[in-house]
Amino acid sequence: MSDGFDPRIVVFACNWCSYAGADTAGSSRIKHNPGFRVIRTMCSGRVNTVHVMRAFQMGADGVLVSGCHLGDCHYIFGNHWAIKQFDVTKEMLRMLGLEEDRVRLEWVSAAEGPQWAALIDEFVARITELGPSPLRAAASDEDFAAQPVGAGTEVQES
Amino acid sequence: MATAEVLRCLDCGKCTSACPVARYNETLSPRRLMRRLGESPTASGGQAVWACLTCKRCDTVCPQQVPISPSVPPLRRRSRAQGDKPSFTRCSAVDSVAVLQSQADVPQQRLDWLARPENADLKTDPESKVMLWTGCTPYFDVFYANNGVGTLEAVRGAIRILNALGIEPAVRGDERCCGHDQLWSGDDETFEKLAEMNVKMFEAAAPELVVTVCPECQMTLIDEYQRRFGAPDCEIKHVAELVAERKDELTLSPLATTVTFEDPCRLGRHQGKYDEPRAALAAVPELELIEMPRNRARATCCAGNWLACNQATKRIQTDLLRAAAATGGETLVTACPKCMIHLKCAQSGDDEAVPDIEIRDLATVVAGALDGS
Repeated sequence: MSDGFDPRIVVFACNWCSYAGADTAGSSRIKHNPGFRVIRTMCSGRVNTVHVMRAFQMGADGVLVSGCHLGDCHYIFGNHWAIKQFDVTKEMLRMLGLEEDRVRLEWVSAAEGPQWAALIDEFVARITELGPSPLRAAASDEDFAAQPVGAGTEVQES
Repeated sequence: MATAEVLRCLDCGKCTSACPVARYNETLSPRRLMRRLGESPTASGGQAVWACLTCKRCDTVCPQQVPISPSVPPLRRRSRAQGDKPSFTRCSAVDSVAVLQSQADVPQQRLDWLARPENADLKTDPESKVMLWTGCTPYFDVFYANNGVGTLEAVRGAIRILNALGIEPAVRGDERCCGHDQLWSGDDETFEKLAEMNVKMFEAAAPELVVTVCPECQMTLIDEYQRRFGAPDCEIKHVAELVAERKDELTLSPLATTVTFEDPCRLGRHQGKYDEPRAALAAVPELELIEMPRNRARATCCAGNWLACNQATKRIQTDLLRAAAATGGETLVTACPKCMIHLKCAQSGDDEAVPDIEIRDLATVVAGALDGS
């Protein structure tokens, strides 16, 4: 890591393709950068604007949303909904002054272990290059690390 | 809130009988909340308090002038502290916008809409001493695009009205959310950070007049910013007031239409401005206003509550839209971007009980009667 900067990266991965793709990368013993946290969702379409914004609110430096390839969605059209929501998310964050590369939407299938590893390496490298998020609160690294998974994420669909 | 004021409560329950939420959601009872406060000044609001719309309907009927809605933010603050957090909906992204704006001083990209070709006719001047406060409207229009919400239309209308009055207002890229929602939801920390940044901006810009399209922003700037921080040190007017005051200077063409008007709670019950929006609409020749049975202090709230949006709020919205449609008016006019969002959201489902009456902002209606429209 350059200058000791250890980026905080949140990865939302869908249960059916991307999370399994990450598993494939693991069981195939493909090395990739381990500096990210995965949150498994049932579908990339489940990840809405507020989830991504909350991640940045809590101190994330980059957020990656990953789902099934178009046409492969377990729920038929969930990833099309993910695109729609992601467009809104991206525009909101751009208006708030965040660099565009800090958020990314990608498709990784369950078989694409090497692609997953390459994507993670690339994303972590890019966020490391960008440095800490300008929207980060003054909270310390210890505070972020101490947050239990799910803290402050009481988000419900209405 | 001072305990003495709460102790005036007679436990008569008029507040709860007038409360639009209590009609459909029995967990919220203003009477019970006041009783709890009377028994213990440090009582928390529990989960129930998140359902409150802070629409001030209870305050207007209380025979003892108990400050009911002003007691809600402290109750919520204590609810938060005890872990009774609101059940944020998808719309809490709007809360995130405010929190992210408060966390760091990062330049926003919020004025792109002004450069769009359809807004080429708008005249603005960064050096102007008249500031047009856009509030969160640029963010609303992105987030609620799927609901057909166009709150920037109201901003556009306000700029056109100002231009017609010979004013080229300053529209600033460094304004931040006023923090209204955070203040009313007991998140004082975020409110104070936002206020500090905005006050700095006001002090540097030293405007002589601030015009808003949002009564929530107006109320927050007057009641909180001016009272607590002494800035902006000038008049703060809602566009409806501006039109009402200077209608003789505007050349308005006839609009042969019938409308009904929904009093936004922050303009009406909170600030007592009932006549101004009506005078503004009356300035448009041939425009006929048909009142809903519940208007002015008795007006139905748009039931906007991003902290606890549920069936109760939807039913209140449905009632309001039905009352509006029953007037026979072609358009429901409001004077608040948030009312617009909440009511359009209620219409966006496929519930046939919800009338699809057209909803427009007052500034858009008045600007539509300006010459050259």
